[in-house]
Amino acid sequence: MSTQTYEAETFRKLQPQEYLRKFLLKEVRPDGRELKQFRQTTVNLGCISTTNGSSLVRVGNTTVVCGIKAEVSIPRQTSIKEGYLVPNVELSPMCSPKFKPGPPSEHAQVLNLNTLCIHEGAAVWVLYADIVCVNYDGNVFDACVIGLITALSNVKLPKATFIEEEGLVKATEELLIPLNLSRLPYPATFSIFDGGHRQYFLVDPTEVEESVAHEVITIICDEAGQICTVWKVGGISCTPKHLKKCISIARERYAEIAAIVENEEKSNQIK
Amino acid sequence: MEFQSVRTVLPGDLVYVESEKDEIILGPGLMQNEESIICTKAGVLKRKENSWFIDSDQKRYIPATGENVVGRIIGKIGEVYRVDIGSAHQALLPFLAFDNATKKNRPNLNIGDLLYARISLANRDIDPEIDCKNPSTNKADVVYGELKKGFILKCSLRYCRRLFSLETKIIEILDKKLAQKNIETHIAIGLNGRIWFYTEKIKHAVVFYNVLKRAETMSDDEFLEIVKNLDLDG
Amino acid sequence: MSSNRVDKRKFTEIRPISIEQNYVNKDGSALFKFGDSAVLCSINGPTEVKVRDEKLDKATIDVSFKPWIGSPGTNEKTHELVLRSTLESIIQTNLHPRTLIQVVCQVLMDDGSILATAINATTMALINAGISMRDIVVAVSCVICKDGTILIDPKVQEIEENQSFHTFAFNKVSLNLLFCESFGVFTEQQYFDCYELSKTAAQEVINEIHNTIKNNIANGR
Repeated sequence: MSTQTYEAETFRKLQPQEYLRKFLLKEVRPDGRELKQFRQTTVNLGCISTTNGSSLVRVGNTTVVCGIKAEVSIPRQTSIKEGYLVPNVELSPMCSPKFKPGPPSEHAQVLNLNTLCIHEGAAVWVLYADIVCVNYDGNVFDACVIGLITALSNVKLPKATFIEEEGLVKATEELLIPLNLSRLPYPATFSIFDGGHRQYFLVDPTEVEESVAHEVITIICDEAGQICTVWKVGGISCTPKHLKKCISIARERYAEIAAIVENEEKSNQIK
Repeated sequence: MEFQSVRTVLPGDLVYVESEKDEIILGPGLMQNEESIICTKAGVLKRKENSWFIDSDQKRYIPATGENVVGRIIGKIGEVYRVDIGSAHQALLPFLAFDNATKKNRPNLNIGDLLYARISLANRDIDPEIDCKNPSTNKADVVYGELKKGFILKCSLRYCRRLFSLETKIIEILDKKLAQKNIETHIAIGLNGRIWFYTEKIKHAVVFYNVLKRAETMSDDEFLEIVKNLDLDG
Repeated sequence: MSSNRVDKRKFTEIRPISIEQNYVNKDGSALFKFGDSAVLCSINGPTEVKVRDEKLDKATIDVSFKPWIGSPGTNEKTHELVLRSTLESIIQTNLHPRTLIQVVCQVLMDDGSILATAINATTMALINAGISMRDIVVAVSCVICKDGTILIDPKVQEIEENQSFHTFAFNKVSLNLLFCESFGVFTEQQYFDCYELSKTAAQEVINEIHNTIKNNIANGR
């Protein structure tokens, strides 16, 4: 009887689950990272000059660009004092043939929406956030959220006044006020891979890892260590102990991203 | 020995089986997961010695080899008929799967015709196959084949199984009643949730239909009592 | 303990549950109500699948979520994603390869905790359809008020006024967390308090489901 041997690449394509499991048994991932290691993240602020605020985020090979455009609009009937944020994520075939549902709109709450009010009941700022995924290699959700938050912190709005008699809003270009963000939340995403005898928690999954993993958990923390979002899609069950572990990793990750963003802001100011 | 009801179960419940024998038989609705046995359906857990199963109800038919079904022909492709038996996939009925069928002597069935058949092959990975071959060639027990005219009633699978087990009793009673009056009736119970029946007079069909529809919540004895008292006059 | 909740419930009390199976004439259906919140779920399948969606080794699960008013938006898409991935983990999809299990959830009345209601309705409908499952899933929502109190199974009014909103789904056997969606601002401690309270409430839902099934079987005979 002869045993057949395969090239590693053939094995990966034929048995993607088993391929990943073999790596995880040795506590290492196909791209050489440790289980708890995030990919290298870079943030580039204000890269698009035609927008009110923008950023380019890279997490490993995943690249997203976020641009924010402000417009004046009539406020919603239900909340006349608040402006609003319209996030839109574009995952075109350019980055990946797969389509993934974009982040839900709840991140809007980080913004103190009252600051977007120009005149009660008449005019408010609307921020259109367009997030375009340029290169898709997993964990696009994290990249989008980081992109959105950093772009928001980069937004500078002209000072606007409402002239009642004319019913017009006048904005002065000379006076630009940065947006007042009440908190700066950053995310961390985990994939859980069920390896039979134990569950592996893979931090910041790549596209390949995402496609074979059984579950995804995203946790978003803010600077005070408070949690803003916990999101688990329901693939496999897990215990509070595991969740606690995820939360603590998410906090470490927060510090990491915060440092990256701070560096970038400093270098921008020097320019 | 009859099957005994143990208790009502939900999917995910664990079943503790103590058996004198080393071997136990798991029927529908039970699954072995390593050392434990879990229920996968909601219903009544039943046992007979070392056989266990869950008596549950559903409407969608999942084919199983050897079961009798009532089907409708919906197409002819090459040497096979495609038959709708209510399952996820259409069943295949080869032209040669009839009594006395040869390459030259083909069955003459058209799209829309009803038939009573037996599942000859059921496998989740391939389309089910059915045949209309009667086990013995004795003319008197010709069972499978085309169902001419008649009426179809759809009902739940559990009800069909119950009727099927009562069938001989029902027919016995009906035969006695009908023989006196010289009325022709036929009934075919498919385990796929379809009951076909034919009566000469429309009035009788209405009576049959109503009895069958209402009897679902009755006990077996009540049901047989009703069949006994059927009013087939006029 | 009397409370100042709008409907005089205790903080940790769920609203009265009402379950009705066989609500519409499909392979399986159920109407699940948490107080006034009502979701109707109907299941079709295993049935024929479009070649495009066909999976060779398991059943395809298709979920559509219809809101109470208006047409489905991004929120509903997210609900569909959640329901689908949760169901994929409990349904024995490998038993019915190359088939489609179609799930339709229609919100009949929205009075808060709608996703939890939908998950429970789907569970009941799946049981009704007789689809083989490894386990069943039940869900409960809760909110944290500005003063830190946790309200289980909130109404619309209670959700609007609060700091954070959580929906937890547990499986029945181990009562482990299957799905979780939490938005707002909260601490780790608060999160796990919610988790524990929801778990207790989920047990009540399971008991209610068990009773319903028992009654239905007793009356069906």
